[in-house]
Amino acid sequence: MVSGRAWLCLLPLILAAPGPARAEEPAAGAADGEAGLLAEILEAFQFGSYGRVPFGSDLDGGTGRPVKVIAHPPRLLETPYAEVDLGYRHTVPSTGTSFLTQVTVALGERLFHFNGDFAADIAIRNLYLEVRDLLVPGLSLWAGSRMYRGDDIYLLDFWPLDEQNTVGGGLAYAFGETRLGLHFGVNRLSDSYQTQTVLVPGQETGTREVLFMDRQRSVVSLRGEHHFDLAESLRLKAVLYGEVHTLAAGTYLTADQREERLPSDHGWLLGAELSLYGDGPSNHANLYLRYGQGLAIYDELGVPYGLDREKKASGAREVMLGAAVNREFGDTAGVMFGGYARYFVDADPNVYDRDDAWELGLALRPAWYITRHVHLDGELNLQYLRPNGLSPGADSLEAPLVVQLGLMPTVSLGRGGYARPQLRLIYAVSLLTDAALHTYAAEDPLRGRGVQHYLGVSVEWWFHSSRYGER
Amino acid sequence: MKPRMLWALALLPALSGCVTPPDLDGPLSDNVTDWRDEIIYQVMTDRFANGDASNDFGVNLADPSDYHGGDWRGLQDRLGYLEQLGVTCLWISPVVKNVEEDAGFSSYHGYWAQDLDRPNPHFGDLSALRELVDAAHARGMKVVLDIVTNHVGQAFFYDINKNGQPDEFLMGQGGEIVPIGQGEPSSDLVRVTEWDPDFDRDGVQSWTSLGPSGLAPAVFVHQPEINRVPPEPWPLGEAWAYNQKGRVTVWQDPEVCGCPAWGCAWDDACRREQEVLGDFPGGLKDLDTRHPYVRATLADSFARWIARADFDGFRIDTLKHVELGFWDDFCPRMRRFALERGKRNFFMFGEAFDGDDNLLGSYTQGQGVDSVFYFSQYYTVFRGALLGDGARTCEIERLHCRRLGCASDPCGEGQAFPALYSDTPKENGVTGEDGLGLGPARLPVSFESNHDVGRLLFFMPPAWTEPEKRAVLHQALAYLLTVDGVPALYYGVEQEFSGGNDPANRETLWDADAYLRPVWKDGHWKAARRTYDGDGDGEDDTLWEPFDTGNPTFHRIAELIALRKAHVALRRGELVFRWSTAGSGGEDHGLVAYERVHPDERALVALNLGKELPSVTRAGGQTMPVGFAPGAVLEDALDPAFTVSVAASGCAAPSGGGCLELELPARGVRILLAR
Repeated sequence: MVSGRAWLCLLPLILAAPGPARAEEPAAGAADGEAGLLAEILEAFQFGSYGRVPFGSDLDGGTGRPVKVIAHPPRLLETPYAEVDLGYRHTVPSTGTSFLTQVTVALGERLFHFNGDFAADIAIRNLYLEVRDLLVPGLSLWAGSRMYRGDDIYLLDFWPLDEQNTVGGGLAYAFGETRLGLHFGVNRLSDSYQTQTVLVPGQETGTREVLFMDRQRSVVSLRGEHHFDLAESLRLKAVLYGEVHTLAAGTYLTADQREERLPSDHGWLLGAELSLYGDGPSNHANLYLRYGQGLAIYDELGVPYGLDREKKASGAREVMLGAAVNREFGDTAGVMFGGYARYFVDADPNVYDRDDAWELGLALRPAWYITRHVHLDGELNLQYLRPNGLSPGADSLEAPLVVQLGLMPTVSLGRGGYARPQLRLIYAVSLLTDAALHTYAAEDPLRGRGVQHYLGVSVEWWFHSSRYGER
Repeated sequence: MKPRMLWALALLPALSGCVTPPDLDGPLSDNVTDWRDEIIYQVMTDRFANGDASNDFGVNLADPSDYHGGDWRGLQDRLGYLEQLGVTCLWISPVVKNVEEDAGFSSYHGYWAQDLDRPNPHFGDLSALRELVDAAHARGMKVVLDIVTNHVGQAFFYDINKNGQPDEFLMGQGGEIVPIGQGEPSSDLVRVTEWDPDFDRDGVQSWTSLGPSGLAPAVFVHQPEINRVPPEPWPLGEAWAYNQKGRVTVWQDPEVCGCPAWGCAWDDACRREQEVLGDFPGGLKDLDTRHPYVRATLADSFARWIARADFDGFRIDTLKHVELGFWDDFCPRMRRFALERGKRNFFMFGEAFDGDDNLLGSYTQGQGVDSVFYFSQYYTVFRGALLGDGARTCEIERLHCRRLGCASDPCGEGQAFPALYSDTPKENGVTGEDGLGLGPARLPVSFESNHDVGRLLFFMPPAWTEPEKRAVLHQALAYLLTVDGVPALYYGVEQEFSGGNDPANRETLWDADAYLRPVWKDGHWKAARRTYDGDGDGEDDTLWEPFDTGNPTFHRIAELIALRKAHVALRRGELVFRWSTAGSGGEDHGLVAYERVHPDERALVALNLGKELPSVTRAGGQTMPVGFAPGAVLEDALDPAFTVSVAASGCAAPSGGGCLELELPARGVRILLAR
């Protein structure tokens, strides 16, 4: 075995020779049989990454900010983010079984060279072990902490079906053109909705902490996927997806030392995806449909809001229709589209509720590949939100609308909408209606800017990225 | 994307139940036929019902000075409960956004405005408010909004020492000031708070170590975490919009104004100056309501609330702390606005927390409020006669005389009583069913308790037994719901809440803990849920539930309201006193009786306020004159088994009337109608 520290020392060597490597020599004293076993294990280190670093100006001395009025706005303007994937694979040729240990470290938007704070927001996004081709080819098993994701709508940075951030495990079985996946995960967020630690007198002096409320949320997801041949170079992927969320009951100790019983809760979600692909390396057209109720429609890393009188999410519901398309036209041009429409109603009893809304996000990004490395991209996108409640400022129903136009001379590794790395010069203009401006605080200088400019540079890369299922 | 997909996208909102909120620019509803027909129920929104957990910000049920979680949705959910009780009009506590907290208290009551144009998020949003009002209207209930024009929350401090920060000082030793050489020197204990300094008619003055330094600057603070930020809308965030004279002190120290120890006359110039120009205690900053911009802003903001929520009237806070001229400007504006939007009979009644009819009546003159909160009645009847021993019930009749005028003194002490309340209808003001205007003297808003005074049960002597207290409470309710004017019930009276002064009188109606009482059990006092005799078996074995509708007081109120609704005489009839006593100890000790006379019918109400003995309407050989014709048989609406006949003689009967000898037990009440 290679300890964590040991392989860090070996990293330069591994990076220099990324192909399969022999296991190191067995430790002294190991039995000959064990030595024989170790000798036949193939090992491989894998490094991957996803990242983006934008910087720019609002042409008025400021930094320029993304505009957001819907849950999943177009990503034309973004904030910095990066992931570093470190994987190590052990393969036993004689059984065909491989063990992948995956660690992904994510860095949030704070950049030391920008804000001068020698600090970073760091999160562990993957920390799991996956065993592949266990017992029979196609059967895999994993456990640990994992980003567990399906297909996304790239232009909106949105995973419409399976996007689990989970601590748990799962099974998958792929046979022929079919793949089935089952996942079970848990979380217990460190907020007063799921966790409460209280101080009590120590046994003799001082105090000690008691974990008073400990409500774990469990998520079970099931995914079935089948691929069909429609024509010689056209295939169809059909996906059925479902989730069930449950949350344990708990007792919360209020400030006045009353015990408040929080009920158990649950929710479910069903989704489907149809994806046409095959007539080109990155051409696809994906259509998503999702319907959910209760707890399942709230982000598993957030606290559900708009709860009912019993503080349950059981009355909440959501329906979502989404699409993601990429089409390349030879070596000359390509176009990408992403969009979704979603209707959300929370669980509280208010009928005319600003939290209840339907929203629409659309983005269209055509690209002209001037040369292999030099592209000219454009983007037209919009965000539209239509709440069921009245705007408190205007005393009327206000439906914010934002339209953005962007032009992006781009330097890219190659042609294609998904070719990365890319370096883009971005000019964007955002047009906001009064209703959209009213989403800013009254004190926010942007509230007065119905036209917002942005000129900046952004780089984006991914390779062997667990974010996009590449390993 | 194929056309079918686009269609699916377009249809998605329709398929999924998209709703359209109400149009706040639309015409307003016209709901009131005659305000004398209404029974108001005062709700402190935070304490009535919690229907929406999503707005429970900073809720702490155990702290009476904190938000408890009640909201407009909860009130809407409980309209059925109120309908069962019989009330016809809700008076809800202020709805505007408040400074969240001040000196450890929170703004759950709503009287610490920060933004007059925004709803208080603790209670819901604008849609939830409108939904509540629409739902009430759909049940035939009206909704009155509580508003404050006198002051806002604790928005600024007076920088008395000009150091740029709010300070509180305690100085001195608290001992007697002893001249040098005559003992140990000492100094008085002085407390100065820059948030709430004492009144100074020249404006709050600043002092530095070298002496006086001119007017103390009013410094607005920026504490967004408790929403203590400059008030909105403009110009309420400007210092010149305030009088800046410091807190009214004459209440604690009437001698400041040269008043005698027992108080000032209402028109004492010094006291009035403080009341009108001073900050309300608690550092609530007094608006300069004489300024035309301030007046315009207040009028615009509150007119907007009429339009937003379709309110049917205003209860106006701190009436006597605003100069009279303001009301002659503000009230007509509100009436015109409502009328232009299609709402007639917009009713405004003001609170002047004072038992002096001279003061109360002064606000009914001119074009100001349509009515006042009848504090003089509260003190005379509910805190006086009903809790007393039954002596001098003529004071109740005098109350009536001060309002409407009497040629002679009911107490026989020689005074004539000019009418102190205006009986002249306001221009565009409220009318009766016949379309004729109703003057303020006909519309006093009567109450037995409210959010500013302890509950009636609290003031009853501890020595009284529970049935005795209940009997007096029921007497009070019978009086309230049979006198003229517009009766107002304070939430929780139907559950026999007994809290003392603010905040104890603001119980949480849905909280089971509000229904506990101490019981002596196993050698200890313990808290146990209250019980009552719900099945009539003589045993108090029915558990008192939150929103209980079976308890005796809920039942009695519902009965009295039903009676008032059923009999136009009890709603709109003239109030004619038939009996009261100027002394005590006679055979009519504690008796008071009055008729409600309407062209279509009449009703006779009699109460024995005595606590020990039965009394009879007989004195000096004379019985009670009544308007009922001789021979008429009267039946007690509360006890149909009781009947009594009107005699042709025995008294100086009014024209067409007769005489009645009526006996009532101690704490008894009869509501007599012709059979």
